Amino acid sequence: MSVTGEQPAIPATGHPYQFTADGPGRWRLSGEVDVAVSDQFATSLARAVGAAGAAAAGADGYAISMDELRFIDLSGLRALAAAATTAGVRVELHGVPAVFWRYWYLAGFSEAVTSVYPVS
Amino acid sequence: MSHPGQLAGGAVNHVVHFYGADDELADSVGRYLADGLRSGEGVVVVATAPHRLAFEARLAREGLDAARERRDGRLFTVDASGLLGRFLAGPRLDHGRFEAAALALIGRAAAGGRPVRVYAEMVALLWDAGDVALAIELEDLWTKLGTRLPFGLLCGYPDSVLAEPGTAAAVGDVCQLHSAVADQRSFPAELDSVRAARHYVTGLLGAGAGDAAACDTAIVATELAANAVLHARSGFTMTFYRSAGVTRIAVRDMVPVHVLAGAEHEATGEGVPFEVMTGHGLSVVARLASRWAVDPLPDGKVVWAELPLSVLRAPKPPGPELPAPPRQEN
Repeated sequence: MSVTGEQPAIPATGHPYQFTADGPGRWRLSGEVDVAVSDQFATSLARAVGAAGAAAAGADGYAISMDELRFIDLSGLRALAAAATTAGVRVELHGVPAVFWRYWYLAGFSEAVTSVYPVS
Repeated sequence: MSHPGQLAGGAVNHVVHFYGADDELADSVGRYLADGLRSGEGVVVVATAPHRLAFEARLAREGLDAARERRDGRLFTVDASGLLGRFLAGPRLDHGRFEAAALALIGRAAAGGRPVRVYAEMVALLWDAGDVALAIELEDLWTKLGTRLPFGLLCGYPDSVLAEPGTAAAVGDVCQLHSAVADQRSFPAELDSVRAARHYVTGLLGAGAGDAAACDTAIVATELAANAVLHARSGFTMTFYRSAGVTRIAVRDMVPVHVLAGAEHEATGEGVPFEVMTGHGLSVVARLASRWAVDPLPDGKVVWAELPLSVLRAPKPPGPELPAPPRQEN
C-alpha cells in the first residue's frame, strides 16, 4: 500500500523480509511483509518478474517458496497479486503459511486473482 | 496502562498485567487498590518495598491514606520476598506452607465476609531470579487457591519478560494460567510500529495459543495498527485483553472520525462503513471478528475488535465460513 499525496512520508527503517532468487523463475520469500515494506516488496517483485521475463518461466510458470515467511499482510498480498497479473503467467506459491490463507480468502483474492496458485 | 480495576470481581478473578515503567505499574495497581478500598473490599498487597511505597503514594493522590486503611483493617501490605521466603524451600515451593500463608492473609482480609482483592508480585521475583518454572508453579497455586475461596488477583510482571529470548512458551503458560490478561502499550506514528504492535500482541498471546489464534490475532493487530498509522497518521495505544471467552484488541489513535454509520457492527461481513476507514484492511478485521466497533472520542477514536474463543480454538484456518484451499491442477 503506498502512502500518497503531499503528506510527508511516514518513517520506516525495518528490513524484516528477504526476497531472493532460488534458480531460474524461482524465488524465496522469508520474514515478514506488511505496510512498512510492501512498496519495497512490490518493487522487488516487479524487478524479479520483469527481469526473468515470461520466456524464463518454466512449464509451471514462476514459483515462490514461502517456507520461512512468518507474516504477510493485505498490502503484501496485493503486491503479489499485482505482480502475478502483470507477468501474465502462472505463479505457484509453495509452503504457504496459515496467515496467507486467512488473508487470501477473507479479502477475496481467491476469487479475484486467477494467476496465483497457492499449492501447499 | 491497563485498567485491571475494571476487571476485578465478577467472572474474572486472576488477571496478569505486564507493565513497562514502574510509574505505569503504580498507576494501574494504585487504581486497582483504590477501587477495592472504595467499594469496601479487603485489599492485600504483596509487593517489594519500593513498589509498596509507590502504590501508597498513588493511593494518597486518590485521597486514600494507606496507614489509616491498614490500621482500620482494610488494607494488608506484605513484603513479597518475605512472604515468598515462608514457602520457598530451597529449589522448590512448599505447597502446604504457601496455602497456609495465603489463606491466613486472605482470611484476615475477608473479615465479615467482604470480597477480597489481591495484588501480588512474588511470581515476578521468581521469574527475575531465573526460576521461571517456579513462577509458573506459583501461578498455578494461586489459581488453585482461587477455586477454594473467591478473591480477585492481579499479578504484575515487568514487560521485559516478553522480550526475553526463549521464554515465549513460559509467557504463554503464565497467560493461560490467568483468567484474563490485560495490557496496553503505546506506539509512535511510524510504519515500523505495525510490526512492533503485531509482535507485542502475539507475545502476550503466548506460544500455547495455537496457530489459528496467533494468526487471527496477528491479522487484527496488524490491520488496526496500520489503520492508525496510514490513515490517521497518528501514534496509537494498543490494548490487549484476553479472558476465557474472548480476545479483544483495541487501538486508540489521536484523530477523530467525522462520519460514522453506527457504533457497533455485528460480523455480518456486510454493511460496515469501510468508506470512513481503511477499506480492505478493516473488512478483513470485520470478517474475523465476532464484534468490532469504532468508538469516537473528542480527540480521536478507538477501533476495537473481538475474536471469540471458538474461532481461536479452531485447529487451523480457514474457519468454517471459508472454502477449502484450491489444490494444484495437474
